[in-house]
Parts: sequence; C-alpha cells; structure tokens
Amino acid sequence: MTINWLFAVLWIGGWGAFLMTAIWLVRRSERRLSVGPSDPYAPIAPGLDDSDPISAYLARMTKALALPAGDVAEVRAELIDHLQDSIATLEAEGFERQEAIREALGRLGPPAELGRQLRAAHQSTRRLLAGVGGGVFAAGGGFVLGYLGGAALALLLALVLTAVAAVLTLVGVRLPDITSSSSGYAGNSLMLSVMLAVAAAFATRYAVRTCAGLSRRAPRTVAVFWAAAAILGFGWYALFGLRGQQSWLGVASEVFIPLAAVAGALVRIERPMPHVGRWAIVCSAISVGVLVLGLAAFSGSSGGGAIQVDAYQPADLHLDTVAPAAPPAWLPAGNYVVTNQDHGQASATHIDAQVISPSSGASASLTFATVLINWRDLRFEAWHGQPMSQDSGAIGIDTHYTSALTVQSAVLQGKSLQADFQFERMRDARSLWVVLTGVGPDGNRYRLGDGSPNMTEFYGSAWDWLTAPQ
Amino acid sequence: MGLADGAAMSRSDGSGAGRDGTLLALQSNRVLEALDGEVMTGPAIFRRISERSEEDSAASGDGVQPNDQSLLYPVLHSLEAGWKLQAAWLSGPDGTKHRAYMKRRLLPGRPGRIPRS
Repeated sequence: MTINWLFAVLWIGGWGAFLMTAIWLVRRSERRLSVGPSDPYAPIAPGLDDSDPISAYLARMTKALALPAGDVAEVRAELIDHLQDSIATLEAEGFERQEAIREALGRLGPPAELGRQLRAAHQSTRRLLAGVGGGVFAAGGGFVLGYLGGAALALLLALVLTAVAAVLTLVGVRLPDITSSSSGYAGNSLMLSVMLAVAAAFATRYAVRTCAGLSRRAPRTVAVFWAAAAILGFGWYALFGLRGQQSWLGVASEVFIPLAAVAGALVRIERPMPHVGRWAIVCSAISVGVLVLGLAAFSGSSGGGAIQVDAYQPADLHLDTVAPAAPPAWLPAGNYVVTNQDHGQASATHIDAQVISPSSGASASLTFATVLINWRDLRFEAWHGQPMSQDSGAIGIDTHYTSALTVQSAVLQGKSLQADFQFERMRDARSLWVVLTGVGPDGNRYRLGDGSPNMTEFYGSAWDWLTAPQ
Repeated sequence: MGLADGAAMSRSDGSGAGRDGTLLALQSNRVLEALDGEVMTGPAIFRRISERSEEDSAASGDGVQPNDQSLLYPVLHSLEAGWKLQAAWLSGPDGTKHRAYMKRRLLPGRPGRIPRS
C-alpha cells in the first residue's frame, strides 16, 4: 500500500491547525467570560466597601452593564481610575472630599444610564457578526474534539459492558448473543450515537461560549439561538442524514443527538468550559486507534463463520405455505422455473424468473410468453424466511406467518418475468423467500418453482425507519 | 448621595434618540481630534477636549455641558469596538496602571507608554 505522504502531511497539518485555532478561539472567549488572576485589569483601587458612594454607584452601573465578567471588571477598574483622577483634581480646586466625590459621580451621569450606554457601545453589530462567525468556527472544532472524546467514552463503555458480561457469564447468567448480525448492528449504532451526541454537545457549547465572548453578550442570551440552530441542524442530520442499518434502539439513540446538543447549549451554560489539554486529545486519539484495531481484530476473528445448513428435503422448506406447486401439465414439459435475486445494500432487490431447461441448465427456448398461456395474475411474493443463523441452520419459509410480507406484479421483459422490491426500506425484512405464483386455469393460485432465499437488512435513515410500511 | 446630580440627567428624561446620536457623534469627533497620534488616558482626553472646546461649545450652543463626562466612556468604548481606537493597560509615571487609548494603526502595535499630561 503506497501512501501519498504530501497529502497525508497536508491533511493532518490542516486538521491540526484547524483544531488549534478553534481551541485558541474558545480559550480567548473563556478568558473574557471570566476574570483570572493574571488579568491586567484586576481592581486597582483597594479598600472600597459597599457603604462607599463610589461602590454604590459602581454597583448600580454594573447591574445595568450586563456584559461578560471580563468586560465588567475592566470597565469598573477604568471608572475607578477615572474617579480617583477626577476627585484628586476637584480636591486640588478646593472641593471638600465628600463634595468632590459627589461632583465626580455627578459628572458621569446616572449610573444606570452609563451602564446602558456602555453596554450598547460594547455590543456592537460588528462584534455580533464576529461572534456568529467565531461560534461557527468553534463549533467545528468542538465537534471534532467531542467526537474523539465520544469515541473514548464509547470505548470505555464497551470495555465496562464486556467486563460485566464476562463476570455474569462466569457466574452462570445466560446472556443474549450480541455477535449475531442484528445485535451487532444495534451495538455499532449505539456507539456511533454516543460519539455523535458527545460531539454535538461539545460543538454547541463551544459555539455558545465563543459567541458570547466575542459578541460581549451573556452566554444565556445567545444560548437560545444556538440551541434552536442545533435542533435544526443536528435534528435534520439525525433524522435524514445518518443512513445505515437501523433499529428501534438505533433510532431512539439517534434522536438523542439533537437533545444532547440542546443540553450542551442550555445546561449550566454560565459555567466555564472544561480545559481540554493536549494530553486529553492525545489520549482520546489513542483510544480511538485502539477501538479501531480492536473492532478490526474482532470482526476478523468472528466474520469467518459460514451459515451451517444441513441437508434438507423439499418438504422442509414449507413452500406449500405459500401455495401448492403448479401441476406439471401447466408448465413446459420438463422445464422448471428458477427465480434469481440481485441486490445491493442500499438499493432495490431485482427479481428475475426464467424458464430453465433441466438438460442444459440454460434458459429454455420457450419464452415466458408461451408459458403464460395457462397462467394469469402472475406475481412475486416475498415471504418471511427462517432466521438464518449459524446455530439453527434452518431454511425455508417461516410458518409463523400466514401471508406474504409484500407482493409485486411480475412484468414480462424479454424471456423472463421481473420485479423490483424495496426490501431495504422494510423494517421486518430479514430472511426472505421470493416465490413466483400465478392463478392457473382452474382459478386457484399455484407457485411456479421453489423461489429463492435472500438475507436483507433495512438500510436508510431514521425517518425512513419511522415511515417504513412495516 | 447626589448620584442624580449629573448634568447628563436631563438627557435621560425625554431627549430623543436622534439628539443622543448627534451628541455621541460630536463627542466621537472630539475624541478623535484630541488623540491625534498620542497615547492618552480617559481623564487626559477629557481635559484636552475641555481645553479645545470651551469657547466652541458656548458659541454653538450644542448643549454639551463643560463638565459633562457622561458620554466620554461610552464614546471611547464605542470607538474601540468600531476599531477606530485601540486600548491597553499601561503603567503610568507613578507605577499604577491606567487604561490608555490611541488611534488604531494599519499595522498592529502596542501603545508604548503614557506620557506625563
């Protein structure tokens, strides 16, 4: 395997630069939303207590200011500095101390009005636009970091569940087989949903905190808009964007993704973001690598088993559940009908029935049109088949069902009868038997041939699953 | 406590938004003219504005009281948010920190020091 090193370096370097820029942006906003010990604008006028008219004035002004904590501290420190200068000047002009204080405060105007005007000055449209742009950028970085963190969390959960299962097995508790196909898909779906939910929560929280810091608005003020955007964006993605094998559990976990995003935007949004250090990122990346290698090893060791099918008799297929076999007199002498299926994972299943000559195995010279003389209302019927698993080895029609899962009219095209089924859009489609049936001259329905089996899985989005016919 | 004695009190008692906008624009121009390439703190800017506009404001009757400082910091912070000014906390001659302003330059640079005013 050759590696395009230039592309790899650019790819890794580009993503690294993107993540570092996003983290820098978030940290810068976090500093503005809180006051740290190293801030240059820590209060510079010690000794003021609440009974001091200056402190009372500043308290009323601060109440109307409604800016992030870093900006509030900066404004207060600047006004204190201004008032000290102003009072000193007034005292030099002959004012008494208390008169100088009153005059200096009076010259600044009503405290609430000053706070309102300062807030309006800080919360400019330019800063709001910068906040929106910065929020989107930080959301991207937060999504990537959250995805890595979610992968680490999902791996940890998988390890814990595996350990619990091992302990329960040792003490003799019988556990369901999670290595079967459908259970495996459910497990994968759950892990992916956990990773995406954590990523969505991180993305939204990063966006809110960054937007608040850059736009000089309180986080709870902007959180509502980001929560609405998260519902639209992640909700659309969860319902329509995630396509694959679905299940009720998988759909429920996918619906949780936009809810996690909203929670990330609204729950305790005033609290600062947890510090994500480089070692946390490194550990998450290593965890993801271990997860990928572990899954690859697991799938390699468990994917080699073939379905064990014992020798069977035609009667074991229970094909008479569909309809009795067509009398030979109504079929071309010596020939029989063979049904084939062709499907992809996410595409329709194409059914094709041909008349086969038993001597040559090839399509008989007789076309289906000749066969159709004795038949009408020809259709392909898809019936539930026996669940095919390595243990049971069962095959044939599932006799628990008394009617077909779905039916399609057979259309004559060339030498064969054809139809298309959307099995990938059916929730209950798993093991299937597709049989060609028709109404004979006596008015009864018979089957033409033994049909063919098929294993299929639902493939689509959560919305496809919810709106599937069955 | 006399907190409501400020000259700007009348402004919040019914003056229109248009009048406020005009006063803000006027004060913004005065601040930009006062800075003129220097690094100055808020009080120093106000003193320079007062020196330059004592006669002008009396003659034009624009309604800005000589000692009215209610628009000073809203204007300074608005100009900073609009990228017309840049500000930094600098140490003064006495060693204490003061927030100083200067006109924003094309090439970013940190204000050096606050001159004695």
